[in-house]
Amino acid sequence: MDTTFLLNSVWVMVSAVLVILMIGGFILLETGSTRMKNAGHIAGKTILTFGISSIVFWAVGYGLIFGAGNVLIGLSDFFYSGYEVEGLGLSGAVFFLFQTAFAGISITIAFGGFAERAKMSVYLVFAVLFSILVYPPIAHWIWGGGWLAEHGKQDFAGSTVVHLTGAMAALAATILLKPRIGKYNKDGSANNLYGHNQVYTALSVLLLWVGWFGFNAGSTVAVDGGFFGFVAVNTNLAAAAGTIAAMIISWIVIGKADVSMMLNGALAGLVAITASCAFVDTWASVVIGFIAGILVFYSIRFFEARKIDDPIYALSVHGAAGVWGTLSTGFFATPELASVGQPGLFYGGGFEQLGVQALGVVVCGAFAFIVSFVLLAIMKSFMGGLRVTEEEEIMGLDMSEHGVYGYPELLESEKPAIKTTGTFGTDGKSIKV
Amino acid sequence: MAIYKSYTQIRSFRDQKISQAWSHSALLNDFHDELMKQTIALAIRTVEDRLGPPRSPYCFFLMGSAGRLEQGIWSDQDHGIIYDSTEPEAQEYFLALGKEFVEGLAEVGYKVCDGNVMASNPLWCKSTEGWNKQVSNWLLDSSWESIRHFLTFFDARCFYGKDYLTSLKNSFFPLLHRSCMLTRIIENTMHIKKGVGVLGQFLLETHGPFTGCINLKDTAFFPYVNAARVLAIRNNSVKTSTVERLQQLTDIDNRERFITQFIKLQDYRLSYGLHSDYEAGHYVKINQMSKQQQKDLKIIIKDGIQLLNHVKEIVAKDDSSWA
Repeated sequence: MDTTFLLNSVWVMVSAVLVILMIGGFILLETGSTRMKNAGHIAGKTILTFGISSIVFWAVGYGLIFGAGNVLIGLSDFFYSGYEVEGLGLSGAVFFLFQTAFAGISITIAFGGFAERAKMSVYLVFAVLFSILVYPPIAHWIWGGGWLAEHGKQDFAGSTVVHLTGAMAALAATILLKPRIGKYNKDGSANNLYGHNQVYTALSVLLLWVGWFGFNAGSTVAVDGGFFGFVAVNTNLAAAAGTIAAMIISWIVIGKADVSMMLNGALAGLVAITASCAFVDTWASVVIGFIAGILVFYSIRFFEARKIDDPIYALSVHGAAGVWGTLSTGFFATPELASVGQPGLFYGGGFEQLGVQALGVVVCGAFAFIVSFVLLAIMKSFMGGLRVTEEEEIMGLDMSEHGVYGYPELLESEKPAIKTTGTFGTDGKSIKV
Repeated sequence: MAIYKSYTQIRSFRDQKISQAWSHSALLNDFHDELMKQTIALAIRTVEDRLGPPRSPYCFFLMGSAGRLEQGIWSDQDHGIIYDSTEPEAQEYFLALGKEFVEGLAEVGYKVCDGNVMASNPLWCKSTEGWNKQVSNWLLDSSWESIRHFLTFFDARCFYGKDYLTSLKNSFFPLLHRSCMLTRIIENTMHIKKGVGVLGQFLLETHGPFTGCINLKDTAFFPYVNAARVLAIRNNSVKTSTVERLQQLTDIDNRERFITQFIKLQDYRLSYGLHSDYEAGHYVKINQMSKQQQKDLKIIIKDGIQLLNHVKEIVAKDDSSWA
């Protein structure tokens, strides 16, 4: 058998595993950034929704994206059975698994906006609907030979397809779910509902950072010329620059070296370079990551001031940085590297590519937001609301949705306080449950 | 002077009259002293009715902002007792008196101290001999906690009874002038919350009920108070108010400027503080101040840091001259 075919298959298989491990990164990110009374629930539902997404992707998602159809949607190859795909250059099953992982990441990002207040049933239903009606159309438009691919839209590994799409669904959810209890005061000022484990959050960023080498470098789906190494270098540089930028900007503006902001900066750098990692020079990766780190800082403040409670900062990390990353190729794509589309503005390509990128962002963002919003609004009326009751939210979703705490030894002893009194803790202040 | 029969009466007196004392920091502190005097007098009568007259002469002293005569509208309790007796029953009596002070002052509107720095706590209610031993131990121990205790104690002002404080404080200056002691003390007070950022902007609260406010206590008062205290220790001065401490000093440049800035700072807190309760009293809503006042406050904050750094240098120089 052809060596290149085998090597391609092995490399993409390794990448698929790395991307699936990113789900572990999201588990740590989301639980670390939220309170311990919801930890078991958040960790568990993330695995469950990846399961749902995998089944739906196998049944219909893959076909809707990569099947033969029209410029809007694919309509063949449902219930993929492991066959080879002509002209692919690697194992069809490996490619399928790699794409399954991407779809799983997108829904996981979307669920960041649901954290600490959505009902378990909402996760189940929306995981199915998103995996059929939101993600596949956009993925088809850009990666499956759809209408944006025809325009030469550059989105190498999915700043738009995976991240912006997930973030727009998260935005729809945060608007419909409304802020968590205690997030805002009567005068409109916001409270910090601190996550319970900053070490988890930091580890999550490392896990995601490493996983991103599969996400971006794996998206070469080939080993030709070792180009994946260049993509990985760009990815690493952007993450590094994002980390430093977010730390610097938070130190300058709020006077504190904010750890959580620094971690968000790393992720924003990664999200931003996702679209452009194969199209830009290494120095541009540093610039793209650095700008993403600053952007995420202001974006988080922007959403918080507008009373949009986004517990994991999905809107800023994946949304704002996703938009910037997609637009960035319109500035920085070089003539040598622009294997898709045109060079960017800074390389004599004029505004053409930037226009295509902007069009992609607007259309995909609007589509993901509107469809998610409509789906969730319909679910809200049919499912008796999207949100758990006030009592359940205060009790914590570990207990209300699953009947057991993620940290039973720690939280069991505080349970009686919940049942017997309206306020919690002897001092009348809320205790961390 | 009216004789009050209950703490509630004193509280109503406070509520009626405090607005008249609002205009000026010195006036306000006189008013606080008057209120506390009435409260203490009532507490003493209550305890004497119950337990008889005190077993010995004693001194009731105030610490914290009350000790320094720098209280805002709301203030918390920081106080202690020195009694001149070695009998074990004496402590029992004065602890009971301390407890009555705490309850009375709380009813009148002085928040109970979170750190339990109060005369009802045996740590802060001791005989002259006990205090001698305790303060020496604090200074010999020189741990972070014992230095904090000492610094709290050093702001003590005799409020009622016989002044045992001055001689007690004076007796400790030799211990304080041991090599590197002042450096150790100032290092314990260098951590100041930043109030102005590197771009010259205010660093305001970004979350919680005081969003958009600046915490004047942490960002602006602490540098002045801590610097003046260390200078007072260095100069063997037992004065407690920050302004008086600064006034006595001849070896710092811009002395008058620092004094003016600190007085202005107190006035800003009084005029623009939130004042709804003790905690809120530390916060100022910046957008209620005029542009000029904001500029002024930024300079006050920066000057405080400059003063503190200056004192650190003076102390370091002393240390190197010993070495």
